[in-house]
Amino acid sequence: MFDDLIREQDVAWAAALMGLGPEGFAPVDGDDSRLQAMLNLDTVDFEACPGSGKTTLLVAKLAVLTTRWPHRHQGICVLSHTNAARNEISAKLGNSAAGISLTRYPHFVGTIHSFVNEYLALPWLRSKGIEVRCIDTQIALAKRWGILPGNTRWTLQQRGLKESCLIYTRSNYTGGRTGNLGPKTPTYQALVNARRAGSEQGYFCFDEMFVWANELLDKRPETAADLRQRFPLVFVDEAQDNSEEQSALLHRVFCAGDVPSRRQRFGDSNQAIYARPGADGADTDPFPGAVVHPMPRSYRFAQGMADEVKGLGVTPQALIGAGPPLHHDVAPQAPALFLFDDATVQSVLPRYGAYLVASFDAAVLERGVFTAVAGVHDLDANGRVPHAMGHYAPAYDPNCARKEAAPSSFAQYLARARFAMVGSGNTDKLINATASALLAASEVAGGTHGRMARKSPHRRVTDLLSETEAHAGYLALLEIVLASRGEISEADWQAEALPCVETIVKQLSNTEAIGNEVGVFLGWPHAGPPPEGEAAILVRNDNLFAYPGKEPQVQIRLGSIHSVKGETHTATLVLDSFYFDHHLSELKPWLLGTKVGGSRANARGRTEFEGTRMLGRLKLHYVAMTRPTHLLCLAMRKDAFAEGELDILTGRGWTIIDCCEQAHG
Amino acid sequence: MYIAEIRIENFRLFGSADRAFNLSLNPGLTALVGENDVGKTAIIDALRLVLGTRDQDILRVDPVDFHQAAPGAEPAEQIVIRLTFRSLTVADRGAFAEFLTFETVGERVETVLFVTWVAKRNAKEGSSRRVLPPEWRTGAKGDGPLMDLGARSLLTATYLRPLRDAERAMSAGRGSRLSQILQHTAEIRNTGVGFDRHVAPPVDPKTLSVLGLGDYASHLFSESEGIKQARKRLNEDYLAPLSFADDLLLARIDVAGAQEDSLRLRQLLEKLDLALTESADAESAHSRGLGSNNLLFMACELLLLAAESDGFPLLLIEEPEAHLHPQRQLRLMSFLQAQANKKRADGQQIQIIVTTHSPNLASDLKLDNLALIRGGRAFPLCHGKTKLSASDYRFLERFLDVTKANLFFARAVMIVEGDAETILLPVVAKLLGRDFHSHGVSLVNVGGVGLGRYARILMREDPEKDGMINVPVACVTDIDVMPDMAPWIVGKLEPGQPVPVRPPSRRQWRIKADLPGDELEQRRAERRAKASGQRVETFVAGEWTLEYDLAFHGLGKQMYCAASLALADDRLNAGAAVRADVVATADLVYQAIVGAGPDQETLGSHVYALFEAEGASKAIAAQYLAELLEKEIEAGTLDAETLRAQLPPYVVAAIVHVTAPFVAAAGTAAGSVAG
Repeated sequence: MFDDLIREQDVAWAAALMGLGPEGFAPVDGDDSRLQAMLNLDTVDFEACPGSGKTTLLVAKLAVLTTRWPHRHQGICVLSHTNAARNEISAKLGNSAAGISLTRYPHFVGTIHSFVNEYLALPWLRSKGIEVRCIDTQIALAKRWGILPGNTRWTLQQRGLKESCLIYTRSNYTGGRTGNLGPKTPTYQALVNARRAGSEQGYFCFDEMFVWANELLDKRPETAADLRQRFPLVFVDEAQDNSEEQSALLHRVFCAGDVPSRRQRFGDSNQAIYARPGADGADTDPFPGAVVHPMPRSYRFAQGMADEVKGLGVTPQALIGAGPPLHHDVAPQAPALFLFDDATVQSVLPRYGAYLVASFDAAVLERGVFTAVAGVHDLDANGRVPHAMGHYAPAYDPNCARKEAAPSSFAQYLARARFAMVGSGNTDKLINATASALLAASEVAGGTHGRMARKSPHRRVTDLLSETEAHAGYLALLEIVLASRGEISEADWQAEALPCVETIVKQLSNTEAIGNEVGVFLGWPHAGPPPEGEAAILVRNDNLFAYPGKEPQVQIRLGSIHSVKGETHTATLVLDSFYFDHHLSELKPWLLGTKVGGSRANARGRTEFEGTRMLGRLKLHYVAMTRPTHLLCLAMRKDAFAEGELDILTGRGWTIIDCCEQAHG
Repeated sequence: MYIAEIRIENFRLFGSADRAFNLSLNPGLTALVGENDVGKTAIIDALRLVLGTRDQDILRVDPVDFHQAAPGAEPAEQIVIRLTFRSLTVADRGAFAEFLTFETVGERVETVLFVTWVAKRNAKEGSSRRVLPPEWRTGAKGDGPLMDLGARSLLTATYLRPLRDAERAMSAGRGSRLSQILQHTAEIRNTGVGFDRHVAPPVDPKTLSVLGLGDYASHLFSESEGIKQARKRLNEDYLAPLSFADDLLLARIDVAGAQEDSLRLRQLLEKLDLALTESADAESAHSRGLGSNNLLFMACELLLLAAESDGFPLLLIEEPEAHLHPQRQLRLMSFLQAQANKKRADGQQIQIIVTTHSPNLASDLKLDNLALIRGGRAFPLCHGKTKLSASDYRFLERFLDVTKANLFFARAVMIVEGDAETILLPVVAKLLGRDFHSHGVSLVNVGGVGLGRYARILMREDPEKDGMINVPVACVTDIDVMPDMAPWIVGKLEPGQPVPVRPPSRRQWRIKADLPGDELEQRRAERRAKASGQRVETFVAGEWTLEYDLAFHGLGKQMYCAASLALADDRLNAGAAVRADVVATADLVYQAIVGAGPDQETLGSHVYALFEAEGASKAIAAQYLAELLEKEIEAGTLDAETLRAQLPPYVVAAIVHVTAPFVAAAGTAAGSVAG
């Protein structure tokens, strides 16, 4: 049924649509892998190096397919791993006809989680008579913890069990991490009861949706056939990141047994990193599978960069550096290494800022994307320096950057919207963040409106408030948010915004008074520790670091490595961080070139893999170091290097910037 | 899949909660029957609002559509229409995967699609938008995702309006329905080859497709010498003098050629006209009447529905009988039924919902396909929903004909066993001031068999849940037990002959002595129980038969006279006898019987002997009796009050049941009604 859906004459059109020019997918130096990838509609896995334009390829295919898609009741299913990836696809297709029709019936573009929710778990839960109010691990666990009797909570705490023991993995509400609690004990029964009661009230954890989806597939195996009928063609982006449960479920729905759907996966096994430590890749239907189409040409960085980073790939690919793209009109820079010690850790970011200002002209500083990322997100302040981003920037708020978890305060909703708005003047994110925050606040206050409708949060709030007195308040609040571009001063918040918010939340949740819990949600965040000298410039809560402090010339976005997956930066600073040991220090042999890849042939000719933890470090930092187009920077402890080791790097053209020298000297 | 349930709340005459409208449907054909203003069109319109239709008319909800519980009351806030689709195919389940609900029936999980359409009234003062845009919700409780346009478009129905102007729909013109239909017909799209102006003209134009023919014709036009010359003249004589030397204006004359294939094909098809001819090859331009065109129109719509390969095939027809004579109606109905039973290539079965006022149509349908609409409620007449047993259904399928089908459209029904009742009861009722016509009573004559079966059509299996059909039904039947002395009077026995003992005797007739104690009352109760309950009641003759009871209760003289006239009927019609003489003789004989001082039973038996022994026709006698009574009332020798007192109480009670009670001034009739 897919014959002739993508024709050779479409390829140039699609390339032009993607902004690559008509020759975008044409063969280069006899390498027609991109053209073949474009025309291929069989079940295949694309092993695509960083910057190979796999998302562009996917989007180009989608553009052609949707314009020629002949079916009214069958669609294309595009699964991504994160909302970011989904948004990237939508953004790339933009407002083209293809882009708009792809977001509509009968197609699906979204995360695996939302697919599982929309097509399996939610219909099934609704059919069980459960009104699903909210799928959010944090909120669901808080609800369930509240249901537990006081003495049970105490017992659980005594046993070192946290709220997360309330997550279940089976549809009879058992399973999950309950330590060595016996299933017959009253505490365990109380736990199961709280899980059940919380779920029946409509609050679920993200991963529990897989439990219900699988139950549906058990009870009604035809559902898989139904979904294959609906989605004969499935694309999976970032397939290397699929967890076992995701991979197994997708395999069950689309591939296992007779009449599988056509499935194309895009990914890079070298970049397989997981949202949680300890999470593991898929054993079922792992990526890449049997039929692989390699895409080793990177359009992001030049050959020099390619040579610096390819050794960190667990399965090193013969990277071809065909970048960087020409739009900055600057040549790529040599990589730089920032060295620091306990006293100077907070000067790394300012020195990076200064280095950027020195390296790029004003136009690039204005338009470029500059980031600093660390592998570890949550700071243990007493951990060995540098433990996490917080050591470099004490005011860094890890929650704000966490893309998957819901924000925990009104201010965070706004902050995240500001963060997402950078570079565009569109107000939709701010407005919807405000509406989402109001809905979340009224959830906390016990409101009972579902979150699952397809309408935007703003439309839902407008509907809920229509014909009530709070509607005027909502309009006033939006006015404040818009006028301040989401950056409300504490005085304005207390004087003007908060009264509106409270009226609206009371109306939405149908309560008389604002409870303590809601008060916390609506409270204005207190700025972190007071700035100490030059180092702690980051006082804003949106994790943007501006340099220099007065009259900033460059904005540096701070975040975790996970949060920048799939992104392209002008310059990236990879900060060392600590997980059982310092990441970059552990990776030093690879940086210096003494080790290559994640395995070696040992003396007896057998392949010997590095330990799992080391493989994890490699993948994580391979992701981080393959982001930039022009400048790659690392920041490491000075004492991590032995005599002569730095010379190897300088010999290869690295710039060494020693932050200790200036501070001490 | 098919629509298995329709629930309508707060739409026009349908209220909310227990006043809401609920209808469950079977796959295939369903006919909604009922008198006017019961909401048949409201149901069709509700379906049109939810599903949309394929023609270009869009039905929009209007502020007056919001139900008003009482005149002058504030209209309802929102209209809610919920459709339940069942028997989903794999394609359906795939197409609506995100909207489905799984119902667990025992161990089995069944997939259902609920579509709940909600329109809210705009209560805001001074707003010119009086209805807010409706929403299409899914899920059993309307808690599922909203349905977007793409998904909804798979559900659109084909709608044929009442008294449609088939001729217009079938004639040529822009946007004609015929062109729409033909455009989607596979034969038109796939037969023949296209025309390419760059290759040599086709040897045989017959090999061209419809579009190819059109393109070829356009091509020939542009090659036409006449057109070429006209263009040349236009260019050389007029445009050239008007142009600048370096910017020459040139005219081109061409058939207005649309770019896209489908657009060109549509324009071509819009030139077509569909008309019926006498025979397959006749070139006759003679056009048929409205009715035939109607059939043609429906045939076209069905052709399109059956050829489609996706979406939900629903056909809504209001009054398919429009302009059709009875035999055609029957043909149409059998055809629709056959269509509804056929499976399409994609496994879908066409669902057809029709509304009708035609007893012809109704009588040709199985009860399973009928839903009676009455007082804002629906009463499907399928198995399990009525008090009818399986054998009743089989019986009624054979015997429910046009004359009986009018019970579906009546406000009250009287079911009788014979012609005498059919003739006499309406007249008697009229004389009592209870005209059957003005009370909307239909009289069903079942001809001696199956009285209870017809009555049970209108009895619900589960009135608690489904409600009662608010149509009073009176069954009128004899008890068929004669008084003890009657066998000798009416000639069952020779004088002196004893009553044969049963068994061994196989006599069919009974006398009261056969049923000692309360056995007689038991027999009466059994007859009554065959069809009584809800709004149905069986009225059993107090004594024996209608004729006997009339004589017994006070119309002995009139009955005797009527029976005598019936006996003389042939001679009267032939002119061999004079009516006045027959009447005078009858009166004399009757006076003689009365003179012997018989009791009521003996007197009645003597009158009845004219039927039983002499063989007077009951039907003819009924006709004469009706005349006699009419004359007496007219002449003032009898008034309604007296007549009522002289009628058998069960007859009066039956008339009251289907019309209106008499004000309980005095009189035995009122008393017996209460009893």
